[in-house]
Amino acid sequence: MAENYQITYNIDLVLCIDSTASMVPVIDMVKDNALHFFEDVMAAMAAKSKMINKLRVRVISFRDYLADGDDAMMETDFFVLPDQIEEFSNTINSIAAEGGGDEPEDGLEALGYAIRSPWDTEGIKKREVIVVWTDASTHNLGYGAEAPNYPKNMAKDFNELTSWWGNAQLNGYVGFSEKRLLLFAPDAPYWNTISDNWENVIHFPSQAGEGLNDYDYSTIIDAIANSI
Amino acid sequence: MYELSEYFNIVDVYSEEKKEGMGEDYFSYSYPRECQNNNAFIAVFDGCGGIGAKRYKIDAETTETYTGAYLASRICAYKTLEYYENSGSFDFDISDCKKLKYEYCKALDEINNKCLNRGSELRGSLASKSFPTTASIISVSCQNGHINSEFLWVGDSRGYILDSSGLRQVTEDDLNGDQDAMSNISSDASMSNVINLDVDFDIHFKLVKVNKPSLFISATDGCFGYFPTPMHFEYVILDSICSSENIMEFEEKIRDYINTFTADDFTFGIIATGFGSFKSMKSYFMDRERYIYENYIRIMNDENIDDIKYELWEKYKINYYSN
Repeated sequence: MAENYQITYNIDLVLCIDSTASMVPVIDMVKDNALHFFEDVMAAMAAKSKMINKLRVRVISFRDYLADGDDAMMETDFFVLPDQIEEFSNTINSIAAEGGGDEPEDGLEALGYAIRSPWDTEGIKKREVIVVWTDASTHNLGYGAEAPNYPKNMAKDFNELTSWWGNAQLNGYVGFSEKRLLLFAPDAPYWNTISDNWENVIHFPSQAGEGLNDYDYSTIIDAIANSI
Repeated sequence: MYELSEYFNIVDVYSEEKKEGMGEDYFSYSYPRECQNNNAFIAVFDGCGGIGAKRYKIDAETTETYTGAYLASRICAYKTLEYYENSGSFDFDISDCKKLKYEYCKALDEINNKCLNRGSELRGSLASKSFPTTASIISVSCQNGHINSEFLWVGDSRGYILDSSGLRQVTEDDLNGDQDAMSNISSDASMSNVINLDVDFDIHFKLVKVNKPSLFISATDGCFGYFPTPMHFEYVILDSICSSENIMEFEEKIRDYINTFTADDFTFGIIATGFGSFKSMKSYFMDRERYIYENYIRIMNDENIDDIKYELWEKYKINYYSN
């Protein structure tokens, strides 16, 4: 009776990393967490006998459009893991913390790119997980719009970005049931607005995850894996 | 599992953890001595591991911590049994919802006050519920050949009736989005209503009168959520009955079937009424088992299941939702 029919999961991970100069004290920790996050989720899922059919990960490194110009945003395509583990590791290891100008950064633009990722459309069960590591609040969307490389199709304001995330009444660019957003970000605008209002969010209020103990980390991994 | 009085031929609950000692499902049911009377109940609870992943320390002597989901399912199962034992039966009206909600909230509040920590500092909708669990409770009363059943539920655990017409889902899933049992196998919509300590929740209620031999089935989503279609879930129950010689064998087969497919803890409870014996129950379901096999399972075995399953579901769901 369809014994070879197994519910499997296609998982897309998007890792958004603040790579401005203020991240210098924590950037190595963040890069290490980024490199191992998918392994920890996979291990938690394996413990529940949840079979992953395909796992892809892409990286978005963000700074500040006005202060950093062409270095403001770096985004990769999806790497298929484990086949492209080396390319993925090299990308993470190449990230350096520098630039950024004033304290708020363009984290919302990074989130906009992440939300509009070319998500996997195949598979029986899909999950679309975005993780953000930052130590800073965010500018309003469009703050850096005068920069020549500012994206033309970016959400015009926070309300539009919220609609990109979607809700029970209106689908966004991420599947309503599939999406998960994990924030390692300070209790600051707009991260706190997101954690208070958007669906399927986990927020660890901190400087890019600093101070995260094993207890909270296992809680986060459990929350992600158990909701997959 | 027990063969019981003239009223209840079987009352059984089975629960299995995917990760030993970490299971977030739990259950309670009326013991055989209560079943000598004319009523019985089964209740299953699925602690919500995603939104209930916060860990709590409740004993100063040990370093052991428990997730809110783990604690909630056990506490609510115990309070349901206590509620039943205090009065000897459920009320079979909507007052059961109000009384059980009061008992659950009181007990969860007590455990929250006893906790030596308050969980983590995590925020956001996916990590913000204290002590979340689903519930599916079925209480059955038999009098003068008539069977009254009461279904109480919260979240996506389900209550079913299986008779010669087939499997019917009596409960309605509390989901954000599509409630269709077929599409939710792949979409996994999040729950819109669970027992918890932070925000208000509803315990739903439905009374169903039954006038033929029936199985009442209460199940967590680990039982039904990983089969390719809802038709497979019915077939698993029927085939387990029809290929077994006794109740123990039946339980073993259904457990093995579910284990082959599921990626979750699973718990089911069954009350069988009106059959007289396992042998007559087996005989009663033979025709239905053959019908489901020939009209659904065999076709899906022979063809690409993904090409044909929605068409078959359209036919099947007419009876499945006929409450």
